[in-house]
Amino acid sequence: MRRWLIVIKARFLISMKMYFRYPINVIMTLFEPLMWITPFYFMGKTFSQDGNMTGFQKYTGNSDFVGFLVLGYMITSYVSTVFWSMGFSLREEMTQGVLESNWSAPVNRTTLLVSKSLFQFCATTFEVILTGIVCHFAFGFTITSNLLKAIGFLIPSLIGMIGIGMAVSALVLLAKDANPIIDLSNSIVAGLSGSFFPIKVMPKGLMFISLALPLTYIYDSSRALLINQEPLFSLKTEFLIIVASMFIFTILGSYVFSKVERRCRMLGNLGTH
Amino acid sequence: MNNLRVIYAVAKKDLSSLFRYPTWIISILIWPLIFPLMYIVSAIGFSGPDRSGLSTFKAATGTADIIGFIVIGTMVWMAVNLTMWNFGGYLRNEQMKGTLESNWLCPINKFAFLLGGGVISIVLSLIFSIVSVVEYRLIFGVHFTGNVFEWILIFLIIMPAVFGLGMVFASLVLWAKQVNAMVNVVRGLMMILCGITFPISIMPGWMQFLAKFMPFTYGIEAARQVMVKDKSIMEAGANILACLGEGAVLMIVGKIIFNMIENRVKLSGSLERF
Repeated sequence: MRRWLIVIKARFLISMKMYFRYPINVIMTLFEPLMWITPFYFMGKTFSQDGNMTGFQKYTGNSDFVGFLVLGYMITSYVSTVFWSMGFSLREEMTQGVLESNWSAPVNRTTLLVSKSLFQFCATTFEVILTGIVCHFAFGFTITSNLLKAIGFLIPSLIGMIGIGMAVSALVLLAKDANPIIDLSNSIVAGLSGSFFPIKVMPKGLMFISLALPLTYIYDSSRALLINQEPLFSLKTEFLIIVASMFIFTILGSYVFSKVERRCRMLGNLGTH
Repeated sequence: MNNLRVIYAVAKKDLSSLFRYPTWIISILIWPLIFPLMYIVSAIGFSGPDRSGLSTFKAATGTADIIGFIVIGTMVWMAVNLTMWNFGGYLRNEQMKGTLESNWLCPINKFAFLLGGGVISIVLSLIFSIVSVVEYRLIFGVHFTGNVFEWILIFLIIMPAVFGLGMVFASLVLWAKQVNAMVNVVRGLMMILCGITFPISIMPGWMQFLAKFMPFTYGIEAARQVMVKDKSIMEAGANILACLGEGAVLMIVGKIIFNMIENRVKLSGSLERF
């Protein structure tokens, strides 16, 4: 247990030092939500008449497209953290030539992987708060008082996402060139879950896939709780789906990662690029 | 002649790396399809199940073709984005791999070395654009107006701006040491100001003023005139000239900044610093 905590502390500190070593990252936190949301915001404006979006309202229950987009962006930030900080961290260590030496340490590889992304999750939470503030002033974004309840939905979701991140890392170990894999899987998963549009817009086949993705319920429940939009199912049902998927993804993710890790050790191809 | 040999050698080396990791083929087939789709599906969501919002969109943009309108904007954005990551981060990538110093020691023109790094971006941007047009034509049945020669001309008109920006960017990254943040600034400004998914007339006046300093605003508008609104090259002439003019300025600025940064890293000995 002590050794486990030492690893977590060391990896957390490394990630923190690297993050603050490039202060432009923090400044970018203020700029990025504007950059991603503005095209949707002005596009939304081209569909609105006197501030009302009657068409959009028929899908979601109210006209708050700004809240819809900003919450979508916030949850997507966590999804990206999972894919990029967990999946990409292995590739980054490979390029820097430290992966083999790190893995030679007498520490569980899963712990090494998860601990590296812990700081990223903290940084993302900080960035999400900043996003809310920036978007409040830029686009008039506001939320209801159900914040604590929404956090209750978010925590099991994040644990489940770590499981997905482990599976992505395993894929990176196999494919080596991580960028396209991470970029595509991140965007497809977030897109199909309704990050920036109501999933009811999609054809039935794709909507079926959306309903099978637990992330859909994270986006949906956050919007129902924080901006009073109509959820797809009752919030109780959505919470149960999120908790069940947390267990499934955590177990599945760590299983896949340990299998691939063992395979890499057998083949001795960890250092090959 | 010597410079051409350098450009050729660098481009050849990059092509070898590109084919060594074939996962980019997946990206080049899927990205042109899914990136615009994100905006298209959102736009359909905004228009409502009965498409009641479409009339206001048509009044603002001059076309009811949501898909064509968005695909053109995002296609230009993807070309810029790709160039920023590949060409803009080129020197930084060499630095990360530990090969920048040894390349820098070669008795060659460093600017030719940088230009060689840009060749692959142009090739990839061209493939990206072709794949976009083909996929949207075949899968979504989008009818692009104009002809192939006009489309190629539009692509060539946008390239000086893309290449110029890549040069500025690649040089600045050597100084700032951070690719991600720098890429986000450039592509972010383009997303906010150039109207990739909306007509710039919807923005406040001060933003429209800033948009005029971005060559891509004119490039996207010219492409939409030719490929969506069925206008001729002559009718899009004003936008084409503005895009070319600002693109030429960017290329000159790129060369100046590269020279400055080259001198700076030589004097401070900071080429290997992370």
